[in-house]
Amino acid sequence: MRRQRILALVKKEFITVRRDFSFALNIFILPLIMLVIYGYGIRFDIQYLPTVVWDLSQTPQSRDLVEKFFASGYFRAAGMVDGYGQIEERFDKGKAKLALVFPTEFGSRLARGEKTAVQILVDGSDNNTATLAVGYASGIVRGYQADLVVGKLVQKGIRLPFETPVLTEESRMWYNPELKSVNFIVPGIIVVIMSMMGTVMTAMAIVGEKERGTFEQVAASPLSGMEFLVGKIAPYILLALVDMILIVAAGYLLFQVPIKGSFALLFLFALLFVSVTTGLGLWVSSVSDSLQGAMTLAFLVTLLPSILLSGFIFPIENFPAALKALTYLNPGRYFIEALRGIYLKGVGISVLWPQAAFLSLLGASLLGLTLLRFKKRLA
Amino acid sequence: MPSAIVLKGLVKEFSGIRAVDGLSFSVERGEIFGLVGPDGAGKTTTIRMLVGVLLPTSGTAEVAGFDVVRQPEEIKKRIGYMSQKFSLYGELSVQENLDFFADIYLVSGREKEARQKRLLHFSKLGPFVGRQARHLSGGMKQKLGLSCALIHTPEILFLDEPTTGVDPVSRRELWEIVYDLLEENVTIFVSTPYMDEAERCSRVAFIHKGKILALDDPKQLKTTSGREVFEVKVKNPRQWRESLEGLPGLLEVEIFGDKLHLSFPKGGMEETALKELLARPGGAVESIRKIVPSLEDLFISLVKGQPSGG
Repeated sequence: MRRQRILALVKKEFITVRRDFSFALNIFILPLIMLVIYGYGIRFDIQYLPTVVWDLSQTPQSRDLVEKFFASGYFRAAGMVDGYGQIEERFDKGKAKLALVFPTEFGSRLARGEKTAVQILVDGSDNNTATLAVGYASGIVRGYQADLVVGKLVQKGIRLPFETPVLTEESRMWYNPELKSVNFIVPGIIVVIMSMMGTVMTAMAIVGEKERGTFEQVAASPLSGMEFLVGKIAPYILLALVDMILIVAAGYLLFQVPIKGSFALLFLFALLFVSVTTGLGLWVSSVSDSLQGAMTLAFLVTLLPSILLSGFIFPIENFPAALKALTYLNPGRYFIEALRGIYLKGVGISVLWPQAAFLSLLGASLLGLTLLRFKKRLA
Repeated sequence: MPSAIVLKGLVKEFSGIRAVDGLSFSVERGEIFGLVGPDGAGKTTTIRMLVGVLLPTSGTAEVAGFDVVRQPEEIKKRIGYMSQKFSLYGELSVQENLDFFADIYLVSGREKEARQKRLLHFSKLGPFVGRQARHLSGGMKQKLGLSCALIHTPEILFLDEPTTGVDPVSRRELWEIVYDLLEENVTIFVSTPYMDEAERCSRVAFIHKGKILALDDPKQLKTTSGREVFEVKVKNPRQWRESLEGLPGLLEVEIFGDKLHLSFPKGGMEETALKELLARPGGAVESIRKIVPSLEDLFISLVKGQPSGG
């Protein structure tokens, strides 16, 4: 390995990147666009869900309960309706996600101390939101029920002959007290961007040389295969790390997402992760001959696992067993666990060492295999 | 001193098809050797095996005394190679490309400066050092490619169709650079589809469908071609061509402007006899003279003489 050769390759790569607009776009603009889209777009929490009310009873009781809904902060009034047809219409148009239906006798039955029900209709086409909404709604209804009982006792001047046990819940969301989705998403974006950068850019850079014939020229030179690969991937490892810092900074400036743990540890994990993804990129470049094929394969092996199988969006705990087993091979999984640990919990290497170990193992074996397998030949 | 290049039964198959079919010849030090043939003859495949980027299916080859399969890295230190397709980095400027290849070949310091200066001088690329390679003309691209292949002063230079797609002026300039190299005792192995360029070589090998049809000094090839060619000047060569069919011993008739080229086997026709045969009533033969057959005449006749196998 000669320094002069590797530096020449690195320099050449940076000049190419600087002069090729599409590269610049991929490296700097794309990550920021993704951060903004995901950051503003993905919400796992619900706030002010538009709610319509069909109140057939028109009583103080029904108005009371409606008021409790809107006071909760989870729901907001989206108008009164008259009939299921109108509810459906509002749901179809997306004007409402939830509907409360009070039967005619709602107020009078409650007043008489009889059993009655409020119907809660939810737009289930958005599964995530619907589940959360039903949870919040039933909480509100139970609270109202308790209030009614206590109110009735007080009204009748009854004092129970014993102390009533009072159980209240007091929940706190640790690590993410405001339950901000974006706190969860910024680490996820880092994983997605870094796996794309590492794999897609590396694969494209190498297959590009094959396609343009420049590989043939360097293959006929004394440059060794190892020198070629090191000189080719070093720039993209650097760029991937720059991207990581870019996202961390943008996450902080745009979405006020702070890092609780150590930045040095974060950097170390990024380095481990990018060694795995560039290894994948080398593998992709060794099996594809055209840029088109390389792109497709690179996206397939990075984007899908890093978004779908890493726990970025869908919790791994809910996967079927076979898929769950598969995630152990997914470097994104370890990186996202580490990132969330560092970002949100501020934990250190004493907790995250298994993730570090798995990433090192994956990286070393992938890089090792592809470097050894690389041939300085055309076919 | 051993030969610069030695091929022994070199074969390359691509999924069962023989692109190169048992080539055996050697190239001496300091000569300019031409591999001449049409597209698809196997020229590029042969050169790729010789420069060590493609493994032969069978047979052996030595370049600068080293085996192409076992010691490709030794070969790569000693050769320069310019592939058929423009294969420099388009986004890099002329100077940056020269710097890149100097670094790859570990040329540095004063030596690098001196060589670059010289290469820029004789390629006349000096005024364009800052221009990105992708924005150069075809001829300038080739000259830059040649300069990059020469940055480490190789012993043997491989040029794969260096003048394809290059204008006549640049083509001449390229050949001048090549001749300068010959004076420095660099061995040159060049492939070309053009017969006029074959004449510039000290020896040529005609290659067709992966096989050698003939190999010799171009002058020798023409005299030993086993045929005689007469140039006949007539008024309307097209009409004449048809009426000549059936002339005793005639191998071929080709039209060149207002002249016809008539080929006969060696000793198969005398100038005086031909004059008599062509002296017909109403026929206006303006002149007849015996000429040296061109390499193109020869190549065509060699190809036609091949057993047709698809």
